Amino acid sequence: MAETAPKTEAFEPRIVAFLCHWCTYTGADLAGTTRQQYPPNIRVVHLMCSGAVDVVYVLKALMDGADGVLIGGCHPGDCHYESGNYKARRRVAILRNILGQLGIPEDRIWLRWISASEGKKFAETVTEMTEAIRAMGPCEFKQHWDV
Amino acid sequence: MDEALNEQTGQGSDTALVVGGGLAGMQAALVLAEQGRRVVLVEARPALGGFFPLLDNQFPTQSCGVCFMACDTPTYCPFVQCELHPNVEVVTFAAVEGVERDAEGRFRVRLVERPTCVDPDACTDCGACEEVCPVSVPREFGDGLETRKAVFRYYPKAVGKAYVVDPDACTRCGKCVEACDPGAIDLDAEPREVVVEAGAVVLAPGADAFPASRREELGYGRYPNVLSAVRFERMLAAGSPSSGRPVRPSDGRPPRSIAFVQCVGSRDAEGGQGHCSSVCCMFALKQALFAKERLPEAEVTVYYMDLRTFGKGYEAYLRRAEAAGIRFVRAVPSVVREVPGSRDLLLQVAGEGPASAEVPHDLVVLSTGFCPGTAGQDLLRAFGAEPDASGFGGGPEFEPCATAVPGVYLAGAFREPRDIPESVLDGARAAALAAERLGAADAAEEPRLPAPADFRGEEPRVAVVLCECEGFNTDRADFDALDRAAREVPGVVAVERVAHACSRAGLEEVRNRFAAAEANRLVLGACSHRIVEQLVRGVLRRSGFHPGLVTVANLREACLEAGGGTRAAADAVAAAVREAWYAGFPELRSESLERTVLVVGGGAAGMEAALRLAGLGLSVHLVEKEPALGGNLATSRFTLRGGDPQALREDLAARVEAHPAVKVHLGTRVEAATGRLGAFRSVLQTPEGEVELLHGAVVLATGAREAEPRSYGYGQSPRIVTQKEFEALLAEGRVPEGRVVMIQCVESREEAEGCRPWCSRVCCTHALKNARRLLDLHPGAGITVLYRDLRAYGTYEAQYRDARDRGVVFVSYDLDRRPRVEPDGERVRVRYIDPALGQEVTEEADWVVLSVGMAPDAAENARLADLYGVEVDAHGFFREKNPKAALADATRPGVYLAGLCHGPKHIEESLVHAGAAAGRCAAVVGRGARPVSENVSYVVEKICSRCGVCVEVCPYGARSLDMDENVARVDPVLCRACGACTMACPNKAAQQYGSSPKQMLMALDELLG
Amino acid sequence: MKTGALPSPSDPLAAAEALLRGLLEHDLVDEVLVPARAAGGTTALGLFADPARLEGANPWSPVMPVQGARAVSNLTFTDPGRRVAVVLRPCEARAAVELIKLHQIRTERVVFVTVDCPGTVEVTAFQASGLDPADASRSLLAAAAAGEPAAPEGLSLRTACTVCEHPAAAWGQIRLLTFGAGAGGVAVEAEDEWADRLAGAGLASFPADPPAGRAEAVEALAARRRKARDELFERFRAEARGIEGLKEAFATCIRCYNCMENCPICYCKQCIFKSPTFDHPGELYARWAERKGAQRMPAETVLFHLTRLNHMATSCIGCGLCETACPMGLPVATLFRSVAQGVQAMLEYEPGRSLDDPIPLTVFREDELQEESGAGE
Repeated sequence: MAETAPKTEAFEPRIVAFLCHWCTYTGADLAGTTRQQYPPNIRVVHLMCSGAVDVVYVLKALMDGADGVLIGGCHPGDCHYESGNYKARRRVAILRNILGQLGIPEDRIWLRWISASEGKKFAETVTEMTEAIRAMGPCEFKQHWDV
Repeated sequence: MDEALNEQTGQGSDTALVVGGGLAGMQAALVLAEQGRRVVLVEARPALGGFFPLLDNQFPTQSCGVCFMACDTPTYCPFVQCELHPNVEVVTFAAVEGVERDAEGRFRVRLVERPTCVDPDACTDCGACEEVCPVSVPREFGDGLETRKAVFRYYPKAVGKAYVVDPDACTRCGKCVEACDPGAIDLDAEPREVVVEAGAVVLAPGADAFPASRREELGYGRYPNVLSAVRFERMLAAGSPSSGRPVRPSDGRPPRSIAFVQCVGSRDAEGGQGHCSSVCCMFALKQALFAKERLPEAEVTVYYMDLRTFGKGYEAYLRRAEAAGIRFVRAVPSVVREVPGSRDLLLQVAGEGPASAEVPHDLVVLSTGFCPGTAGQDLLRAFGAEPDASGFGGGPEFEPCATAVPGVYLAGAFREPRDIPESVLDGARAAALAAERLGAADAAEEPRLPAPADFRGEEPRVAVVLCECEGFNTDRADFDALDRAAREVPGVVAVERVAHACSRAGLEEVRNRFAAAEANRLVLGACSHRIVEQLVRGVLRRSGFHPGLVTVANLREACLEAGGGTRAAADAVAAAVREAWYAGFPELRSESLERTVLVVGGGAAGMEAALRLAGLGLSVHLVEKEPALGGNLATSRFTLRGGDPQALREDLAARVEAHPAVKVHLGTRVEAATGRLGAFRSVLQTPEGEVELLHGAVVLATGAREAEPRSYGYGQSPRIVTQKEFEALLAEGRVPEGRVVMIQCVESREEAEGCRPWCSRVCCTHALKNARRLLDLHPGAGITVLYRDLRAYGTYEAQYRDARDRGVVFVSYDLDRRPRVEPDGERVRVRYIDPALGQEVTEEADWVVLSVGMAPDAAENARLADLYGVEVDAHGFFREKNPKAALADATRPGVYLAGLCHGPKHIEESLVHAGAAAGRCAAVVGRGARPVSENVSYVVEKICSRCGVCVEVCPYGARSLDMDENVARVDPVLCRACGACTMACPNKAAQQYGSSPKQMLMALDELLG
Repeated sequence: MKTGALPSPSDPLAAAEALLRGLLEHDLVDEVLVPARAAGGTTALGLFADPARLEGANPWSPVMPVQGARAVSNLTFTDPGRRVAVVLRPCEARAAVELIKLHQIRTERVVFVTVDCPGTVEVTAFQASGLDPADASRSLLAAAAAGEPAAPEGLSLRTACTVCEHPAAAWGQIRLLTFGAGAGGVAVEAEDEWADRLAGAGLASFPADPPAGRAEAVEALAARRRKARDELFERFRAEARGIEGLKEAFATCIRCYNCMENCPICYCKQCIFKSPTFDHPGELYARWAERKGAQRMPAETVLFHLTRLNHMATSCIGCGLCETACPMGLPVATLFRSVAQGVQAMLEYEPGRSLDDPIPLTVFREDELQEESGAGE
């Protein structure tokens, strides 16, 4: 039953990153400014707060082409909007729990706290995630047309 | 200098000059700017920030949070906010060279701006200059932990154009000039002279870090494994060479045993550092906690004299450090030696114990404190004022932040050693004083802007403008391919390129291309949202377009700098086009705010808040439950610094009662309250009946009281009294000569039932002032003070020293070996252990004086908290919005805190707090209106199920349920556009402009390949 | 809370009917919502204002075609203007608790009457059996009273009922207790205020001994049900794992949304999947097909189910009506509930337990879920 994607070229993971404006997006800026190189597999979605990342966006990304989703927010206690990151943490935990129970690898979804000064951590996270997702192979969802 | 450009900026009497771009100076600038004043902010270093950029994490939150020092919603780090604020002009790398004061008291200040040699308008921040520079010198940021080039960023996380050439290190080899493609570097650039005319001046030059090498015997500079606190702080930062892990500089391995040595450059009168630096105990605890967290195996020891964790919540932080396994040794190492070979260190420790010993550690951190710094002293003198005896700025006790010169105010660690929260409060108070000096402002005039063109209902037409960034972007992506890719996305009507979008000319070019394309949406493919979004929105808005039609695609930082190339950039542009296509446009408007403030509590803080608010042009209602104003001042007779609280009380009360803008309600209590920032409605129960009041904000200043002791025989003998009672006896001359034993920390700093776990901060100084007054009356009086940690912080240390010099005996005790008190007729017997002798001592005292600390009226505070929707902490004090940067704000917009109801404070500190509350309050409600966010959330009423989940998750109370119309409602004044509601709403009846689910899903799809 | 006795305790149906009629006749409420005999040999949920029309009221209806909590929401989302007694099974009551917290039910004029539940059978099977609903109820009650709930001969309990670990009335102002009350017996339990009213109207007498051994019987049944539940879920998880399992589970889904329409927790006025947000331009579907090589239509079926799962998992009370409503017979109740179980365990949340437990998606604890998540933790 399992079909593989018709593409023959080497698998390059595609990762969508939802980054909060105040911390992780700024940290990503810093990674750029300080010339930290990381794999070109990431596509950034700019949001004001990690607390505004909806599960439907994450699922939609995984179903329509992404192999991994990174959600980056402020460290606990540092949220500009007081507690958006705590709310995001619950949502992501629920989503990962559900996928895990269904046997869909929940490790395609990463939640990371990356502050505005952690450009290096941002670059390292993207590098690490790209490698981890590369090892996992293409996302199950997009390999099956009938999902 | 003859070629120097002589330029005049500032417009005189409505301008405030702020000298010093650390946190105090930035807070002063932001509070003034938000009140609508023009500010020139001058910083001596090449970048704003002061000590702050050094700190990755701060006590006691273990995080940052300085963004909360914004008066309204936090946006950026304060230095970015200062740079972006239209009312603030930032002049960096500049010094005050001359000051003239005219007859009206206005200032004419000559500044000399040193050349950075890098033109920020031309620099594309590519870093090529730094790469080719052959010079390497220690980086001053981080006290030389790293090296830097002669052309460099002043501190590494500076984002944006921050390059500067250090003329002292530069060899003028010219390699950087050759490497710079846009030709931004001019090594022959000349200093520039700037003249500022200002009506008021805030000096916040900051204190200097004590140079650890001045304590030669401690080995700093000779032994690589002895670090200064600044160097260790840098090592702990995420961006440090060891990525935040503590390592030994000699061999790069993690230390096994770290020693923190306290009071290096503090409490050392012989060394010319007679003050306590106030912050070192806390930052040492923080550094120790992080060291322990990152190296759980390492032993961490803190050598100290007294642990001075006197701030709000700091005592709990000390408990946390103890719980984390950090060892505390009450002893001061006098000499540090290095073990040859291993480069481990031996500390000679002479403690309270019998013999001194040499203790081995393999990393030593010297907790270096503050020096006043000659730069600050010279600055103060240039404006005609003098530093105080300690060398710090000082100033009058009951007019904190003022100087001897009218119109010149002082703030921050140069005024007196202080930590971030207190520096920020200082900055806010100094701003309030400066604004008052400039003259009361009316409600802000909204700048008249043309109504934006209405594109609603039109088919979207998207213009894409791509920024080449002077070759930076075009070198890293194929712009022709980008152009073609953009044209393929539906809705794109034009694709244009500009050379440099973020310069002034570039922004106008962007606007012109957009207008020429006759488009109704704009996608700007340039750099980060953080850099360019507000700029381009501003330009379009001023040209009669709705700012919501702009969508930014971050090509540079998010794609090209990291090596993402053309594909990533093309995806980002396509996603932005989709996002723009589905953009919605909220109505641009402001909501008005009542310019009346209710102040609850008529003690020192309440009266001061009322006077400052009235001075800033607001109407004030001051409510006091007692029949007279004064609060604790009524029972305060003298202070450690020689102030007369009674004179202060009379002066404040007279001014409050005489002020035409202040209405005093005595014998009154707040019965009920509804509403929110800008429109509170409170019911006052006055002796004449109920009064209903409409007000825009409220300042809570309900105070606290000396607690009543329940131990040490209090109540069993008239000779066992509290410090406050003793103060009254002294003031009335009713204390005969005799022996006095004072016991500190009575029922304070203990978790046990009925105790106050917090440090009440004022009791040590209270004991000192009573002891010194007693010695003034009876020079032969015998006084023993039994203490746990003697917390005479800041320049109070001088009075502590004086008390010791005059014969007061200070003996420390532990909780497990407390003094015992036995009343015995006219005398009281006190037994305690003398640690020096290791023996019990018995004293027959004439008086036993108990330092009991302060407690809030928890029930009344809880009632008021309920009325105004704010929080109290576990002890009944009001909770602040942020413990680092917003101590004068309660947890809900429009509610401010002043004085003891927030936590124990000295009188002068309550006045600072009240001034800060007034300054910040005036910065919000004083303007009379608040613009609604362009990204405000809204309700799709047709599909709203009225479930209330959005109401629950909104951190600002901006949402409510309309049980008549059965929908959720948004209060646009309170909405801060965080998006929490949009995520919580299962069917997206909660949406916000700028990131509707349609926009998100359509943009997302373009990123999926 | 007080326990009391009803005037004719030997026939629960008659006793309940008398009690409900009494509520109307003594003007303790204005209307009663309860299942009652209806056309087609089955029962339907009725809102009764006239006590004379209450004949055939049956709180233990053998079938549950719709969720009572949804009906209560219909009735009270806006103020009904009249006092209403609503009779609910435990799973309906637990759904009602969730809906109260979500402001879908306004309680000001409602008295909740809950009953011990002997289980239900699927509607279509019941209709085909030709049994009289009241007889079937008596059979169900008798089996439950004997300690082992079972369907009348030839029928079987709904799957959701066989793994229901909360069969006893545990919430509501008035509760009708049959577990442990002996064959054909019933007792009443009421909050003090309602006990006084019932006694005052002569509808019940207080106090009386609680049914002997009820607590033990309920706990023993719950324990067996938990075991059955865990076994079912384990079997199911083993079968339905991974992308293949997910595809199979929804292979014949026709996107009728019945599962959602019948779910008491899916309270949205309009599902986002039926809203303009998911009304895509045709270009998008074509792109997906191009990107992946092929695309199932209608698209986003599994996305719908997974999103719905994310929305309702925290509050799913396991009534199983999604499955009852599914025209394709997909085992959605087992799927959704087994997953919900894991989520609820993680968040330490038991839906329907108490009005004081906040809806999990509105709160957080600073010290929970402390790790950053994703590989490489």
